[in-house]
Amino acid sequence: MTSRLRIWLTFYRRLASAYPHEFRMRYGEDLDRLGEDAIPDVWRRYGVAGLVKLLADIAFRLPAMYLLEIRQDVVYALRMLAKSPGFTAVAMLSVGLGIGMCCAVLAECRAIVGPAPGLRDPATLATFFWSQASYPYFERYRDARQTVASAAAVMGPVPFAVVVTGDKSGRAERVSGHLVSPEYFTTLGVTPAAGRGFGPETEKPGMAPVVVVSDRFWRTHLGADPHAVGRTLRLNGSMATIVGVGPKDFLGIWPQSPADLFVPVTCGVSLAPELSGDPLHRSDREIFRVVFRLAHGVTLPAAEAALDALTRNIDRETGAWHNRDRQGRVIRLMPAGTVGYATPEQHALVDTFNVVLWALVLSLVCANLAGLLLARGSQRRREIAIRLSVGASRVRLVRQFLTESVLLSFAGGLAGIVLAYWITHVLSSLPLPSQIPLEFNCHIDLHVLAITLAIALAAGIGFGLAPALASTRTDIGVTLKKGAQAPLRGYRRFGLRNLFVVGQMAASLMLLLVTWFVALAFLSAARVDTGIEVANLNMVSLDPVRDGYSAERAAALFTNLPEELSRIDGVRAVALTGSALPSHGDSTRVSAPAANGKVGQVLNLVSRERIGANYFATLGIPLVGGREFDLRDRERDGPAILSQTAARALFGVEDPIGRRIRERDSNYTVVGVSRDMRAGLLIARPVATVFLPLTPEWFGKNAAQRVTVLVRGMPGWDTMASVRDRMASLHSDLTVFDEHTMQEDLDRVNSLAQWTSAMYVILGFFALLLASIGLGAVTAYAVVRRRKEIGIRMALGARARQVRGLVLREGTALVAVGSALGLSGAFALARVFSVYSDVLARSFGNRHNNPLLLVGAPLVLAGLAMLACYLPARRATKIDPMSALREE
Amino acid sequence: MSEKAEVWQGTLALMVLKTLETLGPLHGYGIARRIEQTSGDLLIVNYGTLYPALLRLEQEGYIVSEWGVSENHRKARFYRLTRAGRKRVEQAAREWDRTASIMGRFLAPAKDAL
Repeated sequence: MTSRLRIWLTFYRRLASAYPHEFRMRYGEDLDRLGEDAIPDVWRRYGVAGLVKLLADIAFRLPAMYLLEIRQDVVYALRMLAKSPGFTAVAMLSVGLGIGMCCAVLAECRAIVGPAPGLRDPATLATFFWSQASYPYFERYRDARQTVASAAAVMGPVPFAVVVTGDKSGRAERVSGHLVSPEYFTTLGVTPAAGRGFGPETEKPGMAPVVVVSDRFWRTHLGADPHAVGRTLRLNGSMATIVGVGPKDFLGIWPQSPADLFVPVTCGVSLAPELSGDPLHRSDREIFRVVFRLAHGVTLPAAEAALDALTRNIDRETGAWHNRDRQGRVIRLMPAGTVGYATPEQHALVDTFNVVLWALVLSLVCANLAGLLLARGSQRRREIAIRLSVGASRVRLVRQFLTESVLLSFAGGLAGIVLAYWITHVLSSLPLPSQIPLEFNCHIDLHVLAITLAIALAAGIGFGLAPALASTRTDIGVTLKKGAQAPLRGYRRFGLRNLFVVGQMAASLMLLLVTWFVALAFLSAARVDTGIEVANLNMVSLDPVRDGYSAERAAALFTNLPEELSRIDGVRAVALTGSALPSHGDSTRVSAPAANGKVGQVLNLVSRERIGANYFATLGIPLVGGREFDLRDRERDGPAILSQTAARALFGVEDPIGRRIRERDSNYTVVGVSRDMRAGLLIARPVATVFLPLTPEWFGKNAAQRVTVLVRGMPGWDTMASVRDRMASLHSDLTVFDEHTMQEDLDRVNSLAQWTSAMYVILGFFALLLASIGLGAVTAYAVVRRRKEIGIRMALGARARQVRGLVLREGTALVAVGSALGLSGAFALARVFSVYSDVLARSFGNRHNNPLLLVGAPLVLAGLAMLACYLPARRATKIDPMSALREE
Repeated sequence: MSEKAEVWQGTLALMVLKTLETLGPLHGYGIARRIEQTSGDLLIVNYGTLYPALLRLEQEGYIVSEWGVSENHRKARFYRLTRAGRKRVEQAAREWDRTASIMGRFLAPAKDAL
């Protein structure tokens, strides 16, 4: 052969040597021969083109041969997986369940922190954090076109006494609505389903009153009348024309307090008593919440800075600083457009919990996979040795195991995706607690799905492959003889088998405990624990101005009411309050002037409640110091009561009783200190609160506020019936509404949080299931592998009971060790989490949670493990020892 | 080379079997050359698919192979038809005849169609 042809032959040989190992073992030489024979011949007949074609043929065939091998791998893998259905089922279930749960935990569930329906692009909406503005200020904000594309002022929820014209009974119904500036609908991006919205041109002072009704109101009160636009309603005694019907599902800017009626602020004071005193032109009536639609490309911090500067400018111009703290920011922004008025802290807290739970569940899945796959892999050493000895290449074997692991993981992953979608579908169709009149949309965050899948797949593949990689390096001869019982490095007694059980128990217990800790932490954080004694405590609300009372008459009513009511038999205590609790409350600024050479303290963001005499006694909350408000308080500087947090912040360790404080423009003397009441959902720290008295002067200025009467009755008496009768006889023209018990009130607030917590508890149970599956499988597997040993023992004369006892004893020891490790691991992990988050820390330290969990969880898992020990052992002792001896 | 046709994948196996039936045991290259000659050099055997075809036929039991010495005194693997292979060839030949006549009827000018 000429040297030129030899080059071609070299190429040919290179290509041929790339063929799969098994093919080469059989036909390798033959292929080489073919080349040696064919090349000169082809060259003679077809020249270079022919040689190129020859090489191309060989080269193109190469991938096909590998694909063929892969197909064989897959078929083999499926057969192997089908041969151990229990293992396959458990592994797939673990992965599937885990992925499903992880995705469900981090699913984008739209509840309080989700966007409100019906709004366009809620992400660009913002509002002031905990403060309100006056109308003239709002108008200046609205015109800051650089920062703000549009803005709207909202007062609400505002109650309207509504009479639908044509309604035979003519009785007024109390419906909640919003008083809005004309830019409301355009700012929110809401297009009415019928008629029109409001606009600056169409809504001017002095024009006939108009109203836009919600879709819900249109259905329930107007009977879905197609000619609703143009009809009239009597609102608070004045006629208003319906000009539009809102789109479906739209219930105002914060649907957690749904609004069914939208009335422009230009409607006049006869329609809306809240507009008395001309708040539209006064800078000191800060009663409007402002919603901004941020200009394109403007971020929240940038907008906050711009609006802050603007506010300072206006303050300087008007000369009135509205007791704003001139240091730092005078206003703060937070995102609007959510279902509820959720602060960024609440957002962050929910997010933290979710991420932590997600990580825990994923770890549990990986631990399960590790246990299962490693245990199984170590058992296949004999098979690997055999295959190696008949000529399989290591690469091929590893590829085989890889195929198996990939198949298993992917199948589990697929099941997980299906489960995740199903769970979110089920969640979406659950009804929310009744107060939230919305649909609950839950769908999977695809990023989360991708990450979870990637991690689970990596775990499955990694743990499946590791034993294979290790096994291909074993000593074939020894392994062939002894099979799975071949000694590994390490002392035989603490063999791998036992290690797996202990490891699985420890990991499962640890992760389970911490998952439950976190879930319970959320539970306790979400519960509003006010400390109020709720038995026999009732509430009823009055709104005399809307019933036609004058301000003076209303003031007189309220001054005398508590005494009138406490004379009723069966009434133990009565108190008035201006705010139903827990409420958003009003936020105000309180300062303590300097005294005794100390610097005065200023507290911003103090929650303010208006209460009457006897309030704390009626609620059953003892005062920490000082006294309650008294009807006879007529001091020049009215009395005030501070919560503990407020007192500590203002006066430190000094006694606050008798000290002076200043709130807004008034001075007060501190007469009492109350215990802290947790005021809101997921708020970790108690809020500083100042309690100011309900005085006749206040009634005069704030006649449009509703007043709630708290009545503590005696057990066994139908107190409220007596109260209603007395009210009817004394003040027959007064509408008494919204009667409910304090328990119902708290439930109302707690309902959403409890519903969310229920989700976490369900998650906890799923975690228990996951842990149980993993632990049960590994333990049962470990026992099954002892069949040969059991067979030997029985053949040598041991009785079934003795053998079972042996297995159970060993099992108990393993479970005990595992539990100990798991508990200490859980504590360590809890410590780590506590450093990371306050709320978690408080829950972990919470004494009365722990005993049940600390004892219950290990018991459950241990019980399961013992069962998983016992059943296979029992089955093993029943079979014929000879067949047990023969099997591997 | 353009007027020569590639051997279709499925028929290669059949040609191999037929060649072995006619000529007796052959080694790989010999089979390929023989196929090309039988077609009057109108076919080109794709050497890449030859050995996979041989592998398949061996797996299916139609041929067996053993080591022998080739014409140029080198060791080569010779392939031989088995009885099952012989039956397969006969069956396949019958099938081809039938197919060819059916297709011929379709493709020929319609004499009795109307």
